[in-house]
Amino acid sequence: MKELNPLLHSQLRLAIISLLLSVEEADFNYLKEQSGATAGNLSVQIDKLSEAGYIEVRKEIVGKKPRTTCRITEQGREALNEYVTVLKEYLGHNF
Amino acid sequence: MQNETFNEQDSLRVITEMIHKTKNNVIKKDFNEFLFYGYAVLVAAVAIYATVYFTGDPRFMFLWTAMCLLYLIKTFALRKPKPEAVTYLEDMMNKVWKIIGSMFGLTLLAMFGCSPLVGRIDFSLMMPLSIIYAGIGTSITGLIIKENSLTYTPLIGLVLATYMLLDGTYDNSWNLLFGVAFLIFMVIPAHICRRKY
Repeated sequence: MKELNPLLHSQLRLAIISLLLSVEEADFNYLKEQSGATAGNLSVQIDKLSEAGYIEVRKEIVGKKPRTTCRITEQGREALNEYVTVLKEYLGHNF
Repeated sequence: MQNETFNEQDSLRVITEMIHKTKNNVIKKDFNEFLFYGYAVLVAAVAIYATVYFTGDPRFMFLWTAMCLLYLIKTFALRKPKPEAVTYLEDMMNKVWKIIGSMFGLTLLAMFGCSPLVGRIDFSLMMPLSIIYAGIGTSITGLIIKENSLTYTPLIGLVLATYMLLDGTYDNSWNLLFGVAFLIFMVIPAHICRRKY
């Protein structure tokens, strides 16, 4: 049986990528609010997903405040799709 | 979020929960734009109808140009801050209304541009055309969010616009028809949607 992608097999990273799956883009505050994560932890996990090419991160200044916006990439979408396929196999074996 | 003892069942729960959260946010729309423009047109229609009726001067029709001013104020001065998350549906709706907005602008420009050819500037056609354009935008919005009151009420507007186009010559009753059309396909469905969502 194939291994679950270790980069996605983390509660917070999986939450981020799942949240981004249904939106065109979302900012840092939205992800923080919806995932219930701390800002520091969220920031670290966003960097990891970005380095893997699963999400795109855009940093800009809106008004006088910095704003970080994330969106899922095609690579991220494929990775999550594959993760869910493998997950189904795992769960299929356990039921 | 804790990462200890994160198993396959938890994965499934996280994915489902997060997708569900985003889905719930999609339909949390206030429809204020529909109410803003719907009521603005309705109030302007009644006011212009009454002014033309009591003064007998059709030049008061030019008060409709104040709608362009209202659009500029709404778009630039009263601009809302960017939302925290933009769903694919919201993005699609925004793009649809940008196209509809540019159709209004291009029609006005075409009317100016063609005026030397026809020997006059006649903006009266803007009324039925506006009903058709705004109706198309409303219908598409209804299809996107699967809301029948938005999808089908513009058909009533289309009937009124067709009547105006066949009638051909402006009279003061067009102002009222214009207001009624926006009441039917913008104001009423927006209130229905606000109650639902």
